[in-house]
Amino acid sequence: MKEEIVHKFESVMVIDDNLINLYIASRMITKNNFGKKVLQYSSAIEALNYLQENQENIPQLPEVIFVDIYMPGMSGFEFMTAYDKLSTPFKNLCRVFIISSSIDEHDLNCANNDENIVAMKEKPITKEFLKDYNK
Amino acid sequence: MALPPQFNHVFQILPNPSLILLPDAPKFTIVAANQATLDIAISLEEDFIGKGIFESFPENPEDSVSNGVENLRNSLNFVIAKKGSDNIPFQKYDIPIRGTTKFKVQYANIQNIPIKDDNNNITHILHIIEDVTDKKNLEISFETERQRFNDLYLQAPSCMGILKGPNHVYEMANHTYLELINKKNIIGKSMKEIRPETEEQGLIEILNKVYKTGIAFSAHEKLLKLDTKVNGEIIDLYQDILLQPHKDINGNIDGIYFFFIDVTEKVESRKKIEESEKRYRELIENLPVATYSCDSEGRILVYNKAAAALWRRNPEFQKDLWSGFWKIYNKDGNPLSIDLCPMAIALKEGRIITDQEIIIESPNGEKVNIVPHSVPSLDSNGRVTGAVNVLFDITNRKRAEEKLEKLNKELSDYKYVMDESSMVAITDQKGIIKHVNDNFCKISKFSPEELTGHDHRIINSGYHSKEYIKNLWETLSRGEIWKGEFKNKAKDGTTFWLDTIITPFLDERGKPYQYVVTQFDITKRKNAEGNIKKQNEELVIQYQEKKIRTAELNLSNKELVKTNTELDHFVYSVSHDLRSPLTSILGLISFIEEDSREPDTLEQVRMIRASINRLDGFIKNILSYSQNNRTGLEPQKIPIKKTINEIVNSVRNIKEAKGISFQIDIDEQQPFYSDWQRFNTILKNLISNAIKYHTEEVSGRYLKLTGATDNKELKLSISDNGIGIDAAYHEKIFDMFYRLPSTTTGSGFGLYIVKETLEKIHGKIEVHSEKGVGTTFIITLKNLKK
Repeated sequence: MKEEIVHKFESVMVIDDNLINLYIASRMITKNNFGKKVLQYSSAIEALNYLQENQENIPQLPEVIFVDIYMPGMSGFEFMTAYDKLSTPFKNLCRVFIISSSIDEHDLNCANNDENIVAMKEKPITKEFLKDYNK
Repeated sequence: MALPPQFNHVFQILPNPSLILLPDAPKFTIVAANQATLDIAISLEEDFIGKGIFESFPENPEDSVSNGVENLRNSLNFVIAKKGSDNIPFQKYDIPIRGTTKFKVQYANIQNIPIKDDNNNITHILHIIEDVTDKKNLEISFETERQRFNDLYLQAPSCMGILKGPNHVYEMANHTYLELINKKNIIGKSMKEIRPETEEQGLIEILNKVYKTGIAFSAHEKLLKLDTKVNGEIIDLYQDILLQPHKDINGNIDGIYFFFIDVTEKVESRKKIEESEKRYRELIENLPVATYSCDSEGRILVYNKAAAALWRRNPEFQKDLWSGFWKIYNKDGNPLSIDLCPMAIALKEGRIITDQEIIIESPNGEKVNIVPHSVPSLDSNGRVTGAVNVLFDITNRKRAEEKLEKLNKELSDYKYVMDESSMVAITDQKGIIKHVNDNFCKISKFSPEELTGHDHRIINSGYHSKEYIKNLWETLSRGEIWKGEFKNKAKDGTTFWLDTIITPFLDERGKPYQYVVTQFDITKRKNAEGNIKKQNEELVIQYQEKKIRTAELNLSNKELVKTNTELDHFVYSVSHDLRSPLTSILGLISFIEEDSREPDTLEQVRMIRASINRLDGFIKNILSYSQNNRTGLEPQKIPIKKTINEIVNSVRNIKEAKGISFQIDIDEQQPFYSDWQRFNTILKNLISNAIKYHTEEVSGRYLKLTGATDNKELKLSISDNGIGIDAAYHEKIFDMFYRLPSTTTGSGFGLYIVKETLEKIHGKIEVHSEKGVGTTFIITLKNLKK
């Protein structure tokens, strides 16, 4: 009898310019049943476009976003500035994590001061984190 | 011819001495003398019978005035001629004292009565003597008294007189009284009439009372207002008055004697004395100097405010003693017994005591220096009746003197210092030397005698220009101080340099009357100056060189700072970028670990992970080291227990931590402030070390974290029962890249970072460890609470 797979979230978005990291994160999320669908973006601008286009269409939108800080074009924090202008129902629904390969104090302060950001995590996203995290 | 017997009998009993004479002028023979005659003449009848009257009663040779014999003869002749009686009233007719040549004074009324026969012829003459000698004597004494009274009455210096009747009519008034009231012809007029003002003054009323009651009235120094000049100008007179009722024979009051004694002068002079006494009192009372007087017993009679101020109280007059308020000491501060005080001596010996300084102490202990001036007062017998004491408070003077003395001492000290340290000369306004000190003589090599009285130019070296000297004199003549340097010449011709200050002393017009010259020998310095100049030039060159070098150094320093910053930044970026692929590798490895079932592959992957972890730990350390250097201190309140729990939780699940019991006991009594990031770094390192260096061989592995905070600091100890560190290495473990021998893991960087980070946040660390037993690190962090 085939076991019913239960995912924590319907849709999770990962934004990282490094494709390997993008791969690792996506696979980690799906493997650990953290998210059913992973929206992968190597550009914050594209990710933002997607969110803006679908902001009225809740089922299309991610419930969790992992976003890298240092990316060409638009950094993670620039992304968060634009994110703040999105619709409130969406923002109430969505949880944003900043991920970075090293925790810089300045970045940490920025993250803590942004009420849209749940936390800042060090890369890579671990199995333990994904397992322990609950809504 | 004999007298008839009846007649003879009557004649004999006549009370007055009587003789019967024959009218045989001029003899007038005595034919009979009665008993009264015999009594007063102390004679027998035979002594007179047959003798003439003038034979028996001759003239008293000592009385040439009365003419008794002649008057009697005339009277007898008159009787014969007129055949009638004749009287000689009040005739002095002295009677010879029988057996002596003396006479007894007798005044008599003499009657000669003719006795006639029927033919109217005179047969006899009856001679009757009425002795009035007693009456005469009374009259004489009355006259004398009267004379005396008149003298007294008229010439008495006091006024007297008699007022008659209820209306007080002047019956008598003496001259003094008339003079007093300046009136004449007052007799017969009433008091009211002559002196109408007396009614108003109440005198009439008093007179009425005396007249009515018969009680005498007397008054002393009664003020009478009299219009003595009769011009309406009333003057004040003081009188002692006696009004005495006068009674007639029947004892009824019929008048009043009055006696007035004018005591105006007495009263006025007494008033003057009282006035002058009052002035004397006022004088004492208003004196600004403490003054009092006392009687011979020392009881205070008069004192002034200044005295009361000194006593600190107001004494009771005539009761308190002068000595009752102070403790008294002599000038040297030794107690002085009361009877030896100036005032006591003045009272006892009656002489003025002055100029003896004493110290008095008030009840509250305040001491005052006093010079008393004690003057006794003597009566006409030279007895002391009291004394006046004037107390001069010389405390202020004394203090001023002491201050002056101190100033003088200071001045002489200054002079000493001046004399010791410098050359001092005093010249008059023309520059003639009046005084030089020893130093001046020593340096100039002249004796004081050679210098005094000479112009200051005696030591002139001629070195200075005319302008220099001119400027000096111009400055001084303006009354200003001149400062400068002088090259002078000594007696032996050698020259010396003096640092010179000339101070003009100015008279009241602001003109200098003398100059005080103070000088310091600076010859050595001057000589050295030449060398110094040379050295200075060299120094300037060196300085400039240094300046260039410093500029260069500054530049390279700046570059270095820049390089350092860049380096830090570089290290950070590199570490960050290095870590990024490592995390990717770790992520990928975790996939292999899950997917692969090949034991060899899994073993190799585990080894890769270990290597990567080590490299990652190293990079993390480099990052935190770089962070520690790059960032400033940001103190904030640190939840210690929470932070430690988070760290422990993050390591609890790693493999090495398995089987270790964590015991955390933190007493956060006071809020603790520090840099959170660094605090975190330190604890992470120490905790992960404690885990890392445990050994599985030991049972009951533990890690104890015990700490407490107070206002000043946090003390935290981290103990384990791990492998421990040999005492030989305790010093070295904090060095960079130092790794203990026989350890495989570790970069030798962790404890170095701990030490460096601790230094940044004002902390220190000590280690207690024994190989094979365990290690305890104790860190002490300053509470950075603002």
